[in-house]
Amino acid sequence: MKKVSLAVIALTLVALSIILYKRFTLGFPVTKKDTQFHWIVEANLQFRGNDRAVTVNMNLPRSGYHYFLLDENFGSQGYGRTTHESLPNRRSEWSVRKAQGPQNIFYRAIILVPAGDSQLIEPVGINDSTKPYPVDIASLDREILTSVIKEAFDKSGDQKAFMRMIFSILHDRVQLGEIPRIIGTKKQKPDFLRLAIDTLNLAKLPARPVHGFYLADKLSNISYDSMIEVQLGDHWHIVDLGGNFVTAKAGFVPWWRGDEPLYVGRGANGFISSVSVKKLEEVSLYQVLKVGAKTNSIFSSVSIFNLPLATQATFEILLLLPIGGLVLIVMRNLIGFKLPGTFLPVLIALSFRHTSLTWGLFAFVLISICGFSIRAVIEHFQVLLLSRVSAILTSVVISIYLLSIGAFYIDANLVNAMSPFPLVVISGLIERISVVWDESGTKEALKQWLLAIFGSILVYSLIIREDLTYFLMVYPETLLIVIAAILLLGRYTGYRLFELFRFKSIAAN
Amino acid sequence: MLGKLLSVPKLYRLLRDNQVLGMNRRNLELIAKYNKRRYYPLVDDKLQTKRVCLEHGVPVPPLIGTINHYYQLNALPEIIADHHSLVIKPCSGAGGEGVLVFKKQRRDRSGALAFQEMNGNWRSITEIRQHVSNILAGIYSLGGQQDKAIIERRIIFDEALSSISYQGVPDLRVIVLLGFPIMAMTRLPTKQSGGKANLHQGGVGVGIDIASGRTLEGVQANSIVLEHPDTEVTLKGIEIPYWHEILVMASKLYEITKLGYVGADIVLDKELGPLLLEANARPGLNIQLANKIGLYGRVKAIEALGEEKRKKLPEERVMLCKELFTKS
Repeated sequence: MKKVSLAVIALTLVALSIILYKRFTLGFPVTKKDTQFHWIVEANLQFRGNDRAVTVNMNLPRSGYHYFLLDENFGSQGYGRTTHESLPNRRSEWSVRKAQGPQNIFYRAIILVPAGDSQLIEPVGINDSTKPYPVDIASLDREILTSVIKEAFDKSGDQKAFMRMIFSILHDRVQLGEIPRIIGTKKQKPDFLRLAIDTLNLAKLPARPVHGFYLADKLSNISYDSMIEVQLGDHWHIVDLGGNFVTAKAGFVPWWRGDEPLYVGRGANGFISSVSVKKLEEVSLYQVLKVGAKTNSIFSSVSIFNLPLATQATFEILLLLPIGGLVLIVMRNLIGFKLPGTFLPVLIALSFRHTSLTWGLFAFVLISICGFSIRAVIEHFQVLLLSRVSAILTSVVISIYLLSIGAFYIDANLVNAMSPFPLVVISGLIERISVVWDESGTKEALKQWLLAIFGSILVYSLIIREDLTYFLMVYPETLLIVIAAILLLGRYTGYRLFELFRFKSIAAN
Repeated sequence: MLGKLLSVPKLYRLLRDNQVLGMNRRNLELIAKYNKRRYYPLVDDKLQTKRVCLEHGVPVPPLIGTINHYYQLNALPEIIADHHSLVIKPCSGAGGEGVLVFKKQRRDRSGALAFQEMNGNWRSITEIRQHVSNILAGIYSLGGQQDKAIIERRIIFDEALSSISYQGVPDLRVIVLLGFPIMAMTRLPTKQSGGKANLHQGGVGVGIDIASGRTLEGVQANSIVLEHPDTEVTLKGIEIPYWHEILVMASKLYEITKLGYVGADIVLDKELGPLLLEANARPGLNIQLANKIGLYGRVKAIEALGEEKRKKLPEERVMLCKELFTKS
């Protein structure tokens, strides 16, 4: 008795401490909503070669405080490629000795963006070039800007307010036409970005342009947006052209900094670039593993997410089996349901997961009817048990075969779902219930059959919960707690719910 | 429904106070603790039970013959030709399934044998042969494995219980813990149960006072009955003949089967007296309903006995139980 409670306590403690450590120290997610999203950003560059050497430089994203670069692919036929740091940017150079005709350079990044609405900030010194950002302003302009800075300084209390005030005053003056020289000709769109950056640098607030993309699902042919990165204290803050701090919620992914364009191509013409963004559906796959890899933790290296996709899907099912078992134990030992077969309802529930409940039930009822009919016929032939069950199995296979063909005409996807239906288990159930039918009558057989369905639906309703599945995938140590619960329930010597009513007459004594 | 659920904690306490034994506790604290798995085959196989019982001097229904293999089916008419009242049953059956009981035989004009069941139906020898074949195939056996068929003399049951039985044979169930008979009941067939002594099929269970061997009130499908539903005879106060011998027989099962928690099924034959029908390694809990008392209190009373007292002979154990468990 004591040994059991010791084991239960130990298992629970170990599991809980691992879960809490992973959750709060390593930052593993709890639910899908809580998780960071990841995105595919693809840049495609097309141009025409003129039988000459071609060099293309493209700025690339880099993992940092704003996002993780989980994976990247480069594509280009016949080009040599080198990637190098060119602070504050990271850059790839594609080159080929001779390019003729249509050319294509392709880059794909898989990016993980943390959830939340924190400000986009980054400590100074990570993505910084050694050179200060060049400020080149004519003396006349300098006078106007100095007056702006002075006014902003007077009207603000701290660095942040100062920065914001600069933006505000600049906006007003541009609106009033008081900064004509910098705007250039009147018809041209004012290059407010340049103006703001020059002013900020003049005000001893280091600032630089930052370019990137807004993430939204299924965007193609998007162009980059530019913002301003300004150094306040120890951090670079990304602000928009209104001087507002940009938060992660905006979905802005800074790609490169400075005055350079996204790419520079030499030796060819007709450059056309297109960038597209797509949200990755299998949210759970990379993130935990990659975040973990960054934090270099043993818990991340033993994560299921390190396995290939198909294996992960299998594990999703395997991890649910113990939960199904737990449900059955509760149903039997605490409530008192006598379910046919030990794990039969779990297996049927798992197959419902593939088919959806409606189709699963429909198939189950149909297969049962076929099975019972065939068994009734075989009964007359007086064959031995194993032959009988095999014959039922065959009839079950045939009915699934027919069902699949029927399902194909309704919904092609259903066919795949039909196959993993636990044939052998269902055949066994049919035989078992048939025996009950013979011995104890239709009522008892129907009761058993309905109980099997009831148990399956109950287990199913638990294991389709995506949050549960996801939690188990991220925190498989939860299974230790499941073992603890199973042990505890296995030592439960109290009454089952149904027994209370069964023995009621003794209680009335 | 809600009212039912609200009364759950109260019901729970009442059952606990009445020392009612639940399924979980039975499995964990009695069966798992006292019944070793390796002794199960002895009680699951009725032929083996018969054999060891005879070795220990416990009377069993006389065996007419067995059919172990299909090729022996041809010998079936020969085995049963000389008998009128006989029983054919599966060796590893449970719950009285697959049992055929005959009281009479006849030959038709062509000389073919036929036997009459208790309800009056006639069965041809071909039908009986088919039934035995089904038994061999394992239709009635516990796990569906191949089985043997037992043919034994029919019990002509003692008249003491005939007034409270309908058609079938009433049997006695004694629960034996570590050799101590702690509770007993008789199971009476009714019209509803189709002449079978099974409680869940509508039979009546009647508790028996261990000390006096007299019947208590009856229970049918969880409700108290004072009279047999078919014969309308008062159930209470009937004295079971051979009561002391019955308890001693049951008590001996501990030494015979080595099972610490066992149910003895005993029938009363008019001529041979009490006979052990079978032993059950997982006896049910309905006996508590028939006696309207919890088993667990009696289990604890036996467990509370010291090692010394437990080592007694069957006869002495029965005497001790008669002192301990009286309900008057």
